[in-house]
Amino acid sequence: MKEKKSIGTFYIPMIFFLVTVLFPFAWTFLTSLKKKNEMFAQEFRFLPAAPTLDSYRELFEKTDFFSNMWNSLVVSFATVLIAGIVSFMAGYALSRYRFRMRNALMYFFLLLYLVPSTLLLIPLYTIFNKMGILHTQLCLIVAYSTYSIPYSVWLTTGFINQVPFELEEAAALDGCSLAQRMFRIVLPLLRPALVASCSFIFITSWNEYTYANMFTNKASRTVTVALSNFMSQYNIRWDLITAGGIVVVIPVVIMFVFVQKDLIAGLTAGGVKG
Amino acid sequence: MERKKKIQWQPVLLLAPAILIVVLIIGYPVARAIVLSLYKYDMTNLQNVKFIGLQNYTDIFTKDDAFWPALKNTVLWVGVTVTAQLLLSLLLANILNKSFRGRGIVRSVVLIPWVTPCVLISLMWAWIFNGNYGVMNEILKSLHLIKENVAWIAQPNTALWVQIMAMIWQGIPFFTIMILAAMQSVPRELYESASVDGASSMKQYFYITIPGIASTIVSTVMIRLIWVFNNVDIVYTMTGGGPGYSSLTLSVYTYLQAQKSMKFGYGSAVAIIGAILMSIVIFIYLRITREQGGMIDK
Repeated sequence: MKEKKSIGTFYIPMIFFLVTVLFPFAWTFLTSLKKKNEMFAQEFRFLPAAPTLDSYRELFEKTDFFSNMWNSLVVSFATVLIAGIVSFMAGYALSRYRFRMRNALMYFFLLLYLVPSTLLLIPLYTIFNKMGILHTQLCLIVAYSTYSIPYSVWLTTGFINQVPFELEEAAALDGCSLAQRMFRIVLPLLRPALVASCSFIFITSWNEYTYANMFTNKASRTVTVALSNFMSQYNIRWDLITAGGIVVVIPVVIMFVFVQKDLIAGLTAGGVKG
Repeated sequence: MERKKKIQWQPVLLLAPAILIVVLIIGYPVARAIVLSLYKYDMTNLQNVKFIGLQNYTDIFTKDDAFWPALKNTVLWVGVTVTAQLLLSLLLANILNKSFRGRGIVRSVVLIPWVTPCVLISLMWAWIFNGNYGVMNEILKSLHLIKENVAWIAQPNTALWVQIMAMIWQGIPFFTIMILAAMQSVPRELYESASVDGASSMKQYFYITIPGIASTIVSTVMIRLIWVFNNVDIVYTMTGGGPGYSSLTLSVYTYLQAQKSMKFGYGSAVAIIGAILMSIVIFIYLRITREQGGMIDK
């Protein structure tokens, strides 16, 4: 399809968007390469005069950033595992069976997705406290799984809808059980889609801050909390913030670029229909 | 699909874990928040927990200095952010819907803010708008728009606007994806026959594209309304609601009650008021948009 693309309505807005999106990252990266005295120099310079990795060195050698990353990694992986399996099962049921309340359930999951996290914050704190798991990774895993399930049920249902049921019928005639059909037929066919939705669960868990800030302590702290803690009232460590920010965002962006096509397909397929 | 009829216990078993987890971790806490909101329940003073009925609520409406400013800020925060996101996303989707070289790369790039942690977004913009060393001041000075450094985040009349800008930046990608997908599902023949009839591309946009994507806009705006309302990270990280109450939103106020003051009863009451107000807004919104083909009818 050939279309006219004028400078005023196409190229200028596109460049505007690209610059706006990339500028904060570029500026953060450039700052992270600067020496500390240059960051806070009177005379402003855009590019670092002598690029250095000092900020990154300090980040990994003098702070707990490695263990923060490890905590985030553990929590995010566990969340992917739990939410992934649970919502694959639920998504399969919602896609393959017609029963009363099915549509109501789909809406129920959609609505839960929108329950304010601040409403749950306080009760969850008291519950986790009573259970004795406050300040452990477990309470974040529980909270994140719950928050991912509604969304990923929605996604997975849409994905499974696209796998023809006839394949399973044929397998059932050959004596395949339900579990065999789910895991040997549907699952392999869904692999790219599931990779996408699991990556998204991973990304949202990795990025979460509201709960993590409330439910963790020094030992279980995650990267986002660590990052914001570099900004205390009296001493804002822009060197550590910028370096840490780049370290935190890189894995997420790489992951996203790989899965974005499948993710968007699932997101916009509209699992809620029919 | 009749053959599935006799095995109806299977979906129940398959759905059980999801429903169980969700009810336990979302349903029960919501109920508990309602109960807590009727108590004086301070984590710092647990010997003195007592039932006080609706007193938390009446205190919020009559005695609380922060509540009304927070409500006003929330209206601005949600209203301005979602409106700007919608308009900019319509523009961006329109650009990305054209075919050009490098479209794949451009699409990936403009979606990146969507997967960037809100904490980092907040910190990056805080650094850009930093009053002493921020690059924004330098840019504006070199364009002669300002003469001296402005303390964007430290002064009450600009802090919220920097945060609104950061939130707009964060939300455009998701909006754009949804609109783009909807645009691509509008049948091509409609445009072709419109061109034959001599309709300008402007006319085509307003008479074919907009009606074709209306239901997506309605549902995405609703998701964003709730999302922006719920967001704590951006404001909390950048200013914690300050200076004064100048950038405090209801969600951040709840968060401060929980995280800093540890007033769990009072905080729950604020959260519930927020949730009720938001539900009313959504209810009205769905009523108004229903005729336009809202998502609930589909």
